[in-house]
Amino acid sequence: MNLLNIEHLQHRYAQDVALKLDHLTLSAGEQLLVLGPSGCGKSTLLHVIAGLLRPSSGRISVCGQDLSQLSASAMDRFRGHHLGIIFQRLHLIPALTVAQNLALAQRLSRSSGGGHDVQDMLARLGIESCANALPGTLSQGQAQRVAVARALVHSPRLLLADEPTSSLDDDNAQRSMTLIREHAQKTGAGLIVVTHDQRLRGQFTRELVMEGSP
Amino acid sequence: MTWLRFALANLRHNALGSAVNVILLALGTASIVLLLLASEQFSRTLARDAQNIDLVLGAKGSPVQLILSSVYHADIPTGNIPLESAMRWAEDPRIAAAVPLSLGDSYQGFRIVGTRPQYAELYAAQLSAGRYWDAPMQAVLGASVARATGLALNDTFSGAHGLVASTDVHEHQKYTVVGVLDDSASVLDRLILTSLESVWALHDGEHDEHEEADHQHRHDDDHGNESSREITAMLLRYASPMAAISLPRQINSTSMIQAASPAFELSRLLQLVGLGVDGLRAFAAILIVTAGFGIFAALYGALKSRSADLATLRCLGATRGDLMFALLLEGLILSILGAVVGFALGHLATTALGLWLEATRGVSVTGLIWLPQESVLFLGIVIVGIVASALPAWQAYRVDVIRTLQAP
Repeated sequence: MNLLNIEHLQHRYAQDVALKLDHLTLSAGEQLLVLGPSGCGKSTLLHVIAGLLRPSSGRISVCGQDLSQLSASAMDRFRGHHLGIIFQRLHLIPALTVAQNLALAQRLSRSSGGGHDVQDMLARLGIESCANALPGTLSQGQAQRVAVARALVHSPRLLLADEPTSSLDDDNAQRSMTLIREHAQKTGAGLIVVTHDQRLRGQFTRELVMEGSP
Repeated sequence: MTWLRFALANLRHNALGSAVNVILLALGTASIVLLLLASEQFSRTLARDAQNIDLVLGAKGSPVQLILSSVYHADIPTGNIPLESAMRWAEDPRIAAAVPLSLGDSYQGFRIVGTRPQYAELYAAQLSAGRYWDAPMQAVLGASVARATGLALNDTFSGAHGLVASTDVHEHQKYTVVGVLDDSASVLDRLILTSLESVWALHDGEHDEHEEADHQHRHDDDHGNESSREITAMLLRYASPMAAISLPRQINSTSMIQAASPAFELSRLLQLVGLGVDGLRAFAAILIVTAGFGIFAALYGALKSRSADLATLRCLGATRGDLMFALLLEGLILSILGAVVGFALGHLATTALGLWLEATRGVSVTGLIWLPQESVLFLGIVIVGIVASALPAWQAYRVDVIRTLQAP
């Protein structure tokens, strides 16, 4: 069973076609880079895969589940359970400690018994000492690791990363990308990185280059 | 990590704003609770003191003053009336019980009331020690009087002229304590009871000395004659409610004495006082509603900065309903906290007020009771909290995940 199956996918905002993709599959544990300039529809693709956006036409199934079959709240639960998302701006919850941020993701994923122990996950990323710190007190590097830990703590099948490197300098971009790829692999999650960052070109075995407005 | 803990963490994160809202709500709540407890107990006390008294006879003048002076022992009397004419009405077949009162003296600020033992029966008061008087100059103390003055059986004391503590003392004739009443939670607790004859005896022959000094005594010149004896008031109980229809009007129109109904005058008085209480209550209600707006403003204002959090939660698997619930929970927690603190404050303040009133006025008010209205109030405040957070919660429900997360 493929992790991702996309056929004849199309999405329009009003009259403008924002996304057009005939065929895309991803098998379990595979890593894919989606590269393209802004406006090419790569973000729309990510939102469709994450179930945040219902496509105008076409079929998409994630982990064997046809997303069009899910109700709104079932989609939310499905996303929490099977997907992990890393944002360009990390969006850690500022009122919660690092450990609480992870525990919340764990709980929202409703992965009963599955997933990793929060402390375990923090230790894997070398930030166990930050467990009780509030996100506001972390360094950029620590915060990045927390975001990765939070996206993986519930053992998702598929990890989505939206522009994870675009605001970072070369060293940090490389370090961050390595971190995400390494831990996705270790937890057995497939990975889709969506970016316009040309520095990542050639690093992935699978690349999908999307052109400007179709 | 439950939604409750999530809500608490958010409130803690904005501790100052949360505290201000809780305090606002608590102050409004405390004011209403204090008013509720105090006014409820106050009117209950007033009603209890007037129980079994259907009509009061006294000198013409203000009926409210007559009731205040002879039922509550709070104001000065309107004057004296001839015992004989009062007795004529007391013996009317429409009257079941009649208790004469003669006021004028006091001891350490406690009124000495010349009366009959039936007066204590009106309040079902029991003697805790001793007996009732059987001769002049014997006194029975109310429970509070005994506690406050330290007087015990067989002690003697001199009454002071006038109804407030004064130095104008009847030195030559002393009262002997022959009995002490149990607590009756009524006006009796603060009175010293004695026979009518005691009061008459004390004032026989000293009328001239005090005529100018004390307007409360208007004795006839002819003291020795029973038929010309005067009393301050006569408390009456009807034999049947039908008496209320005809008797007061008959008394007021055909004699020189006045008949006033405690129930009627009391409700008139409470209506006047009630206006003030209602005003305060409305003010406290405004405080609560303001606090509700405060909660609304805090939650709503925070939405903009928190919309990214909410969108993130959606990405982590929270449903729209979850977010709505989380926001409602925050409003609920604020309002419950405010209500709990407010009720504690209100009861504390009432207790303090009770201690002060007990010491200065002899009115007993306690903060250690829970009125049924308070449960309604509590519920009302919780509803204010829910209503205040309803719109923010709805906005949280509708948060546009994609647009929010893409916003720069």
